[in-house]
Parts: sequence; structure tokens; C-alpha cells
Amino acid sequence: MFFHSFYYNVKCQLRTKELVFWNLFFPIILGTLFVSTFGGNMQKEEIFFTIDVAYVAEDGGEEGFVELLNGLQEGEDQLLSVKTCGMDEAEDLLGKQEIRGIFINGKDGIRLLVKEEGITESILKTILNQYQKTQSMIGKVMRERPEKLGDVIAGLGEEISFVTEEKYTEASMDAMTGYFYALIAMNCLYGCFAGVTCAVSIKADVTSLAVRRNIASTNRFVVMAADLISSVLFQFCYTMVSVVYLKYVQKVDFGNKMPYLFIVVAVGSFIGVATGFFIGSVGKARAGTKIGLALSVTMTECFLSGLMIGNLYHVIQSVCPILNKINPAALIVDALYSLDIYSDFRRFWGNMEIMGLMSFLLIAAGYLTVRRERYASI
Amino acid sequence: MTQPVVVIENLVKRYKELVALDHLNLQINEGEIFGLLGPNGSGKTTAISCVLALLNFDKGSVKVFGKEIQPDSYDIKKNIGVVLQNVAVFRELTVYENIDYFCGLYIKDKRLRKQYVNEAVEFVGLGEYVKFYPKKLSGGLLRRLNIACGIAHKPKLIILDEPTVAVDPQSRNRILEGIEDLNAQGATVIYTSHYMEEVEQVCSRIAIIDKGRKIAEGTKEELKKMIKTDEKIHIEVVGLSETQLSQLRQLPHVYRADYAANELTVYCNGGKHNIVHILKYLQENEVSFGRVYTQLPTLNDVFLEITGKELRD
Ligand SMILES: Nc1ncnc2c1ncn2[C@@H]1O[C@H](COP(=O)(O)OP(=O)(O)OP(=O)(O)O)[C@@H](O)[C@H]1O
Ligand SMILES: [Mg+2]
Repeated sequence: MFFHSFYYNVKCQLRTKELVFWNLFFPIILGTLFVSTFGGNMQKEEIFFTIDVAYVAEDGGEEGFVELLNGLQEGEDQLLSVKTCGMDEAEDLLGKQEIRGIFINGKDGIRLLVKEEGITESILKTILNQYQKTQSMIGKVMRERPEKLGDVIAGLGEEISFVTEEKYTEASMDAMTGYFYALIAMNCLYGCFAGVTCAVSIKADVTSLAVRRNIASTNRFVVMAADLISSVLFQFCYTMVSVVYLKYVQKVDFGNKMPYLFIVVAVGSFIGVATGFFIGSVGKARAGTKIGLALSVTMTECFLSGLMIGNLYHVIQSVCPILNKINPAALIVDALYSLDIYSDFRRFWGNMEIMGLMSFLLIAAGYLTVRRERYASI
Repeated sequence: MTQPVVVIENLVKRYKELVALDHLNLQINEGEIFGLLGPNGSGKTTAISCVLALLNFDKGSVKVFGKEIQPDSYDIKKNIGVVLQNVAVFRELTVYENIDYFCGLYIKDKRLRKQYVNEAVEFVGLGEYVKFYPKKLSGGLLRRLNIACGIAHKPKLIILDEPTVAVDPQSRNRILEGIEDLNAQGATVIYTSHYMEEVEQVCSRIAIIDKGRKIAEGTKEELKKMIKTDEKIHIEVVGLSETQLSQLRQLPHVYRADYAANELTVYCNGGKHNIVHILKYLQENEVSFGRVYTQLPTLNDVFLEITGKELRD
């Protein structure tokens, strides 16, 4: 009986045009659009721009660093625009956000003062780090062969440019992959449609098909389980097709995350179907209304996870982090980000656990309402 | 005698204020084609839903095959086949697949199921359409598919809820004959309808319900004996006067006579040669008449007499 139901549910799913479109073609189309928008951008656009900084020289400062700053101000891809001034003025400028950082050349070396944390600030840090790494060499050159100083500084400048470029690329990649992560989340969560169908086709007060299944001599729980499991499986396959398409056809770089993508997509599909099942189970609204509701819920989740506005996820993370902890789309995006950021998988598995638990609760709550054996009215 | 297949006792079902079933009592015996006749909204579907343990009810009991039926009485349910009033089939599955799906909810064995499905296809005459999707079927064919889905597993008790609504006369006859066949093969049938002709044609016993109450029960002969009218005589008459009409009403065995639109209708109870008496009266009074025919009472007359309203409007 289980396999009988399973087999026919698979058939029905394959033949439901709306499901195939929204789960298979729509994500692929959207992914293709993303690639053609960001992908082109990334290669063509010059991503260098000049960073405004202040330089404050206290007594006993280092000569070499001034040379380096001068070097970075030259040339076509000028990295820095340096204003040499006193500490008070520099702080004032930083406060007004006219500059992004202050290099303070003092007795105990060079310090960097920044106000925010971001890609620009991290480039400034890189400059300082690179300088500090070569500091002793610069000092030696200055003492022994001052005429070579220009070459050394130029070499250092090049190195910095290189590192900077990498950083920028990473940053824009990051923004771009964010969209793809949100897209994957959306694709998983579209399982809600199949989930709603699972629920209403067991609710005799919503569809007449359910009446027929209710009067049959097969346990409803078996029929329902077959429906749910085949729906999750379907959602998983659909989403994996999009992932594979993005990776191999559109050459989106998911790094070495593929095995984890499997897990995320499996758990994501589960929570997608579970969400739909819950919405389908509760209340007597028509199936169409329930599908509409499920779509709105899913799209809101996706929106908040950054599907339309890339950094919305990060904004919520700073404003109301709890929202990201209960939004399945955000959890999926976060799990995928966490693979880039952390070297252990604590955060990743943590997110999977939350999603697993939520799915379980949604299905259990849905089941408790559809389980009701007799209806007050049909 | 074997035990009754379905016993409904004092069943009361309320939808909020509305009393849909009002102390309904029914007993359906093995081998019967039991007709449940009632106008729209009389509670037929509600009664069936209670028999199937779909609805909860306020009072009373429902026993099927001798046991109180519960939602998880799968051993009882496997012997019941239901043709619902609303067509319920999967749009995404073909005719054959639909029948196979529903049959598969009852029959595990694949070979047997295949045989049953083919027999059901044959039975409703959808042989040419097995690969069709429901969307492509006409209303009547869809009804037939609906029937096939309900009965493919060869149940001992078949419940049909208005299976012939919106079906052309040809398909309807086919369906009715099919029901008689199923019955001949040993199935007990409960048949609900508001078409009295159908019920008269196939049912061996009939209950008439109105507003959730059983108002009469018996074979069609028994039902007709319950009322006064034995015979209705229709005569085309031109220019019948009021006095003549009241004189006609005085004739023996005539208990009612109406005259409208040049047609005289005379209701008689008992007596023989009523028509001769009436025609003789008309001749003697030099009233010219045309076509004459007599009619035996219908279930509509039964309904009319008991409730004072027509079964169908
Ligand atoms: N779900 C419901 N909620 C409220 N009232 C209902 C509901 N279903 C039926 N009714 C009412 O209960 C009464 C009996 O309805 P039921 O459907 O059993 O009639 P029926 O004899 O099957 O009619 P029909 O010939 O139209 O199918 C009607 O008055 C109907 O309006
Ligand atoms: Mg009905």
C-alpha cells in the first residue's frame, strides 16, 4: 500500500505542470539571470576605487611607511588618497565619514584607527600588515642602500594591489553567492506546494479526493507518509538539478561544498514540504487559498534571507538576529555561508538541527489536526 | 435470515442549527437494491457520510455488517465501495491509472488488481478511453469513471450517491443496468437519487426521506398502496363547466378532479371501470373529449400525498 501510494504520488507530481515549472524551470531561469547580471559585472567592471585616509605623524615616526603611502597614491589604479594632518582634524574627518581610516605613526610603531568593519577597512589593515611584515627589511634597505628604497616600496605596493584585488573579488563573489544561496533556499522551500497538496488530499472537508481516500481500507497515515516522503524526495531532486545546473552549466563556484549542499538541500526540502503540510492541515480554507498562503510565507522568508536584496540577511543579522534563527530560508543561507567562514561545522550542524526540529514540529502539528477521525461537516 | 448489512438507528446529525438527519432509522438487508429517495437537501448524502464514518453525529448508531463502524474499521471498509456524488478523481492520472490507484487502496495482490481494474473498465464501458485524462472526458464518461473507481474492488456493499446526475439517458440506462448486474453478482446496493423513475426501475425496496426524516418505506407496490390514489385519468376536454366538474366529483371512487388548460384529471381510489363511468358521463352531457389515458400512481404521488409538495419542482 505504501509503495502503491508512493508510486502514484510520484506520477502525479511529475505530471503537475505547475510543480514542474516552479520547482525546476523557474529556479534555473532565475539562476541564469543572476549569473548574467553579476557574472558579467564581475569580469568587466574595474573594482578599484580610491580609499580616503588620514596620516598623522607623531614624533619618532617611521620614514618607510610614508614612502609606502606615497607609492600607493600614484599611478593609474591609485589605491589611497592620503591627507596628512593632525590628530584632531583626522578624528573629525573620520567622524564625518570623509575618510575611512587614520594611520598613526607614533613612537611604538604604526597604528590604524577605523570606525567600521568592512571590506575597505580590511584593505587598510592589509596595507599595514604587509608593511609590518617587511618593516625590518625596509629599515635595513634605508640604512644600507637608500637608493634602492624606491624599488622595494614599489614591490610592496604591487603586492598590496594584488592582495587588495583578491579581497575585492572575494567580496563581490560573496555578494553574488549570497544570491545563489538564497535561490537554493527558495528552491527547497518551494516544497511547500507539494506539502499543501499532501495535507489537503487527506482532509475530507477540503477535497473530495480526500473523502475517497478516507473511506478506503488503507490506513490514512500510510497514505500520508507515502505522499510526504515522495514529496520531499522530489523537492530534493528538483533542487539538486538546479544546483548542478548552476555549478556545471553556469560555472557558479560553490567551492568544495558539494557534499554539504546535499545535506542542506535534503533538510531544506524537508522543511519546505513540512511548512506546506502545516499550512494545508490547519483550517478549512480551499486548497487554492492555502497554496497562495504557502507561497506568500515562502516568498517572505526568501525575501528576508536576501533573495531580492542581497545584504538584507546581514542587516537582519545586526538588527534582529533571532529572525534569522527561525527563518528557514535564512538558516539555509547561513548554513552555506558558515561553510565559507568557519573551519568547523558547529554552526552548520546547528542550523541543520534547528531546521530538522522545526520540520518535525510542523509535521507533528499538521498531523495532529488532520488525524482527526470524523468531520463535523464535509 | 442473514444479518442486515446496514442498520441505522435513531441517527441525528446537526450542522450547527440545521437538523440534517432527524432520528433516522433504516435497515438494509443483504442482496437488496435499497433506494434512498428524497428531494435536494433532504439528507441523503449526510446519511451516507455517517454510514461511512466520515461525519460525527449527535445521536444514534450506525452498524455495518453487524459492527459499529469507526474511521479505522478497515476490515469493514474493505467490503464497501462508494460512488460519491462529487466526481473525485486525479486530474494527473489517466482513466486506467485512476481506477488502479483506488482499487490499490483495497486490493494488494497485483495480478488480481489488474484483473479487477480491467473488469471495471469493461463494466463502465470505458475501454476506448483508458489512456485518456479526466479533463478530456465528457461529463457522462467522467461519471462512469467515478463509478469504476468506487466499485473496482468488488465490494459486498455498494453505495451510490446520485450517480446519474447530469448523465444522458443512454449512459443512465447503462449505469442502471450495471447496478442490477452488480446486484445479481451478489452485492448489496444502496442507491440515492431524487429521480423517482430510476429508483422505481431498479430498487427492490425504497425509503423516502424528507428534511432528514423517513416518511415512508417499503417496496414500490407497498408505497403506492399507502396512498389513496389508485389511478389517475387524464382526458382532453373542451368547455367543461363548473357544475359538470362538481358532478364528476360525485361519481363513485372519484375523490378529486381538476380541470385546467383543457385537461381534466380525475383521481380515483379503488373501484373498477372508473374510466367507463367518466366517459359515459361526458357523453351523456354532450361534452366532447379527445385523447384519454390513465396513469398508475408514481412515487411522486406518494411523496405529494405525504408531504403535500412535489418531489421535484
Ligand atoms: N457541510 C455542511 N454544512 C452545513 N450544512 C450542510 C452541510 N452539508 C449539508 N448541509 C445541509 O444539510 C442538509 C442535508 O444535505 P445533504 O447534502 O445530505 O442533502 P442531499 O439529500 O444529499 O441533497 P442533494 O440531493 O442535493 O445531494 C441540507 O439542508 C444541506 O443544506
Ligand atoms: Mg447529496
